[in-house]
Amino acid sequence: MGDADGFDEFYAACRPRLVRALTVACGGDVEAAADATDEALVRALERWKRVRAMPSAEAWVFAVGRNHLRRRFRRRSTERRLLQAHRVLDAEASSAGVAEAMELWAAVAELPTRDREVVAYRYVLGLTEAEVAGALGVATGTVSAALSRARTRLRSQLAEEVAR
Amino acid sequence: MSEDPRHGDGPGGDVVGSDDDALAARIRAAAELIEPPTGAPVPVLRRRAQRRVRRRRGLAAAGSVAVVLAVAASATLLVGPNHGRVSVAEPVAVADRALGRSPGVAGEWTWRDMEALKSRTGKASGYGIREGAGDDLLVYLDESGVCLDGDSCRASADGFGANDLRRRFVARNGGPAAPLIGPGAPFAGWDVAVVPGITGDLHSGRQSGVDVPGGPAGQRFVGSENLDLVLAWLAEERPNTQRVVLAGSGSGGLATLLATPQVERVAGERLVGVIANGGAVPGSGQIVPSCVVRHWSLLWGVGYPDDWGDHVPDPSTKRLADLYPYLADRFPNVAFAQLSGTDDPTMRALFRTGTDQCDQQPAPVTSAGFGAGVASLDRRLANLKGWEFFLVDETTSAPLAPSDGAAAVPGFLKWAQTLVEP
Repeated sequence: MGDADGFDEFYAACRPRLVRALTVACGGDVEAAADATDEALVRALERWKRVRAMPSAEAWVFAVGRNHLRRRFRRRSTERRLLQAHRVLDAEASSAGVAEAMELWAAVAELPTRDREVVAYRYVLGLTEAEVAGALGVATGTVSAALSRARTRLRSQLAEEVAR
Repeated sequence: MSEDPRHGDGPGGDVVGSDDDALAARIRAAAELIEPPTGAPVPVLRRRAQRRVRRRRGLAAAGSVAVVLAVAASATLLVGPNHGRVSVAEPVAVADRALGRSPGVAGEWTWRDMEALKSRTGKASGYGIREGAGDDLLVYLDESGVCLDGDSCRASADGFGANDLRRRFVARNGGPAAPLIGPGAPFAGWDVAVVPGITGDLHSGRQSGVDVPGGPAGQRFVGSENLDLVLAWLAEERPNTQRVVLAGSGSGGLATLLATPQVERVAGERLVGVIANGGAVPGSGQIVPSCVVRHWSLLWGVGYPDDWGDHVPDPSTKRLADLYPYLADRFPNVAFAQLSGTDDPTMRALFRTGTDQCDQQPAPVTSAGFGAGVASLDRRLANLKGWEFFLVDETTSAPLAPSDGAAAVPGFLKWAQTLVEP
């Protein structure tokens, strides 16, 4: 089957990044993030002409996936589950890299939901602050403040880890 | 590492320091270590999408249900300890009871028993559904009074079942929601979900085993959790819902404002409108004493959202009246309507109730004081994007009254039509 509408290319380029971003946004359940990504991609396909014409189709799919996850994670304890290395991280990665990533994700999982989402948009999807603001429907200053707050908390928590 | 230029820290407020650069780089590197599971291949996704589109078109051709989510409860912008996180309990088995049609209304009404949905005294309840003719849903939060002290608790409802739905809504063309969902009303063809008000907490509570000072003991203020349950069911059974409007009358009007973030977390971008038929919060510290809000917080386990300060003009203060700018800034794509009488006896009573917990008794809310407060609110909302304020010179708790309908409030029908049009 050809790719006349460009969806196959979008899928190949964006799906891994979307799964990673949603994994971060939801606090660590990569399987749920993958399900949400696929669900969001199906919804994108239902209205692909409109979605592909958007400034950032990837941001739209992420937002749909995020909403899907919010409906799925109905228990706080589930949502705040820490990332599980054996389920999440690349087995080929170095043990030091895995340890460092685990430490980071544990800190990210402690962030408020909105801050985690902003971190995912900005640093995993790679949107600019203005694009994140557009995707969330908030002012750019709000995104800047959330990022600043998230970075401060992360630095603090990571410093505590090092001190232990 | 990605060389995507979007990762760069460039102009436009994205410039950060070297420590921040290092942290951002660490996040990106750690993200690369997340191994995405193999997903469904594109052809499978395409087939799923095609099936859904066909199904939706088939349903539309058959005149299928539009879901009108009419939240008829009293919801507050205040949120519980789980604020910001979805905390919907798993839906439990429900039993449907068909209730027939309202006179003059095409849709079938059904009552759904839900064992897990409890009143403040622990009685099992459920919610009502009216099937419409499309994929749009009105959630109606029914009012019930509030439980803040002995007198108010005695006066507030603590149970609702199929017979109540039949009597209050089905037999009366939508009852208190008739101006919105009855024959000829703006949302007449939408699906409607009626969430009963049975917890006396403006649908906002998340606290059980509460002894009310001067009132009953062991109360379950779980209105927000009940709403989560209903929303979870609606999301499961109506995945094709296109648009959602949240509405409520009387104290339910205030409830809708408070429940907006909760409904948006489930409906997402499909939430297009919020209609508060009554329940206005005048912006005066005298009319809405902070001690009343503190009392709500203590009894019902609610508080201001974490991101309150990001969306109100003065982050250093917490005033309930700032829910208007909060909602406008937080949900810029949602159209909000606040309706109010110049004298609202329900709201005047609500803002007095519970003040026995304050060190200093606030001044009674007089009719004149309330009128001045909503006049001030009228001026304030005139300059607030996203809000429309409909003020009628009457003593009423719900300007859209079933007897007069929406036409009695000048301009409202025209505003509502903008939500209904495709």
